Amino acid sequence: MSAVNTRNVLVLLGIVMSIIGLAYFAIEFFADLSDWGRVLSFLLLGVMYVALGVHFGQSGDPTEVVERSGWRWLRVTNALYILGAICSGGSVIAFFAVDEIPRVVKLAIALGLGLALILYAARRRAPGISDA
Amino acid sequence: MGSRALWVAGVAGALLLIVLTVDATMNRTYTIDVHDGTGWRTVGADDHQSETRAAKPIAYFGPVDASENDTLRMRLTIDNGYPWAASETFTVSYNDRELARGTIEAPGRSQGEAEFTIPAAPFYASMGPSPSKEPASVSAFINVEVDGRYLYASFDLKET
Repeated sequence: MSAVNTRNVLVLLGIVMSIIGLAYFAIEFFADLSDWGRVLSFLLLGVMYVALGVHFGQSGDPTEVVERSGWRWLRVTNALYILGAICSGGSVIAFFAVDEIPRVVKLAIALGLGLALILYAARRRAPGISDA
Repeated sequence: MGSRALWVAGVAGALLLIVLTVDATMNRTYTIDVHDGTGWRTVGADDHQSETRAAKPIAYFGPVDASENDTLRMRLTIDNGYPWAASETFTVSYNDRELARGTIEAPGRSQGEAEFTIPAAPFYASMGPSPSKEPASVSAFINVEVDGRYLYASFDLKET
């Protein structure tokens, strides 16, 4: 039985194509969109990739691309989460480029949201962890 | 939970397509015109493809009759493709020297224009004294900064 999970290889190929498409989008189309269009685009991309990562993580199917010792780190969910993080970072950078908002306000919003996310996640328990 | 996450991804993807389609079809285009005594001639246009790419000068139409002490009538126009109104401050400069400043406005999905004047003297001053007795001719070029973009226009001036 092959250690390579074909389904996950296809998903990983899709992720690689997405990364290349994201880079092309950032280079070629960045200036064609409005300031808020860029923020929304990256934000929605980030939400999409993270949601896909959650879906694959909770589908019950194995997410490793190669089910062999030493290769288990290569997971579809990890790649999707990293892609989502990159897109979220891109939305923050695009938000900093919005001219209409004063830079102090932009900084306060970005730092405030980031800290709020950290504190909210810190108060939640990871699934599967009990108090025992 | 898994199917809900997939729904979220699907909705985010659909919204992304909508955002990209709507935003990419909306844009603002600027042109720079000069009045040559008989009418307006476009000497620079922004192709909106890049906010940092300078506007391209339009095809040559002949020199504008203007002596060193004359004032040039110029115009910045905007074609606003966004549904909301536009109001932008613009500055006109030559060799890092500001020649004019103003505000251009346009309602949503409409056009607007802002006239301004610049002296012809700086362009003749950069040329230096003319060695011949023929009317002097000089190339004029200006930079216009508006809406985060840098446009430029070039045209020829000829002494009357």
